Order: sequence, then C-alpha cells, then structure tokens
Amino acid sequence: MDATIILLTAIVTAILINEQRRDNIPMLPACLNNKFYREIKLSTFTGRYCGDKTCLIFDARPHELYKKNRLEGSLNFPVSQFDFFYKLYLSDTPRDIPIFIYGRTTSQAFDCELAYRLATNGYKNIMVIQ
Amino acid sequence: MQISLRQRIHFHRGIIILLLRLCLGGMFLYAGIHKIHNIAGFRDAVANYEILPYWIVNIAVIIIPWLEFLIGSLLILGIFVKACTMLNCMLLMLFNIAIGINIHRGVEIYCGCFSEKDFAGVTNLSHISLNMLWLFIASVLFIMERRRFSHRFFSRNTTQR
Repeated sequence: MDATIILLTAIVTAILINEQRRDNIPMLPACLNNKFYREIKLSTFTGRYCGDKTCLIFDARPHELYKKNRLEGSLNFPVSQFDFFYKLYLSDTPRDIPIFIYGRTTSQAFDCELAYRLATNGYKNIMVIQ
Repeated sequence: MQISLRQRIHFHRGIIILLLRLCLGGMFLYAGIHKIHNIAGFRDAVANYEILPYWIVNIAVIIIPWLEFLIGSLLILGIFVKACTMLNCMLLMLFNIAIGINIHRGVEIYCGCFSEKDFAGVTNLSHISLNMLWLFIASVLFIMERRRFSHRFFSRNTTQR
C-alpha cells in the first residue's frame, strides 16, 4: 500500500514538473505519429522505389553504427547533427524528392526522428524502411 | 536511574537504522537530483542501454529520477521506511540487471548513475559492486526497521508492524 502511494506520488510529481520544465521531455516521442511518412519493409525495399527520379537513402544512426553495417548506397545522416547534415545533403534538393530512411535500434528510433524533422522542414515523400 | 540492557540494545539499533537510512537516503537523493538536473544526459544513457523499447524510454526517464528523489527524501525523513527500502531494493536490482546485460553483451556505455563520464561496461565493474553494497544496506535496513515511520511524531496514531 505504502509503496503504491510512493510510486503514484512520484509518477504524478514527475509528469507535472516535466510539463513545467523548459527542457521537458515528451512522454511519447513526437515521431510516433506516422502521418507524415510511409513505412516499407526492408525485405521489400529495392531500387525500383526510386523509379526514374533520383532518390536519397539515409542512415539516421550515429556514425559508429553506420561504419559497422549499412545499406548499399546509403548516406549517413546522424539525427543528432541534423543542421550540419541537412545543409550538406539537402540544401538544394526539391521538397518532393523521395527520401528513404532507416536506422532503428531497440531503444532509439533514429529513423522516425529524422523523418519527423525532415517532414517539419517540408519534405513530403518520406519513407521509413523497417 | 539505570538503563536496562534491552533499552541499550534498542538505542544502538536505533542509531544503526538512522545511519543506514541517512546513507541510503542521501545516496538516492543525490542520484535523483543529479538526474533531474541533467535529464537529457540521463535520457541518452537510458537509451544507450538498449533494453527498453524506444516508446517507453522517455516515460522511464521522466519517472525514475523523481522516484529516486522521493525515496531518498522519505528515507531521510523516516517516513514509509519499509516501503522505501523495498522500492530501493527493486530499483537497485533493476539497475544491476541492466548493467549486467551490457557487461554480458560486452558493450561500453555510460552508466548514467551519477556522472555521464562513468563507463558501466566490461572495463568497469565498480558500479555493479557498488550497487550490490547499496542493495545489501537496503536489505539490512528492510530487516532491521520494523516500523512504518521512524519517528514517534509520525507513528503516534499508527500501529507498529
């Protein structure tokens, strides 16, 4: 009974104070809302998705993981350094270019975070490879 | 006025419980404050453990520091001591399992315990041994403390367990 009271108090306090903080953390990652990207399976992903147009394949994981293994033709776009890589890869690209993103680990959804940030920058044709 | 042996034992027992409570409570309070202060760093540390699914990481990161803070404060104040030590043991066991899994995987990660610079991987077993020591202290406190509240002020209207 006492343990339940402590747990509930901690949960309520944590949520209330987190809401008031300037550097608050969202309860659920914003990228979980997948209205702004489509999902495709890795097993079904082939170059044909690009069609005649050029497309971009981004690996959203940190560089160390990208070095270990990656999809052929993919570019490393660590979401933690979004501004730098955005200027590097996407400064002159049209907003409707097909972008394929992958890079999910158990605890970190780099792919949907990158998809979310690209979508907020106006990119409309985003697909997340799972 | 002579002090009986029973009273003397009771007094010494009380001192030991107080010291254990202050040590354990102080440690948890410090750990909680540190994590609350640097919540982004703690989030990265929890995510790097690669144990919790990504949609639950933020919830855990928001709640755990405040749970530690509350447990620490209550232990120092001597309120709900039994329940606090029980939660203490559970948290310490969870931390040990998490660190143990990464030691088994052979991954070098930041512990996220007190300082972001602390590695909790294969090269540093000190965190797991320190956690075992805290777990031992919490278990001793759980066994020794029979009351719900450590002060008469709080326990006036409650029955002893």
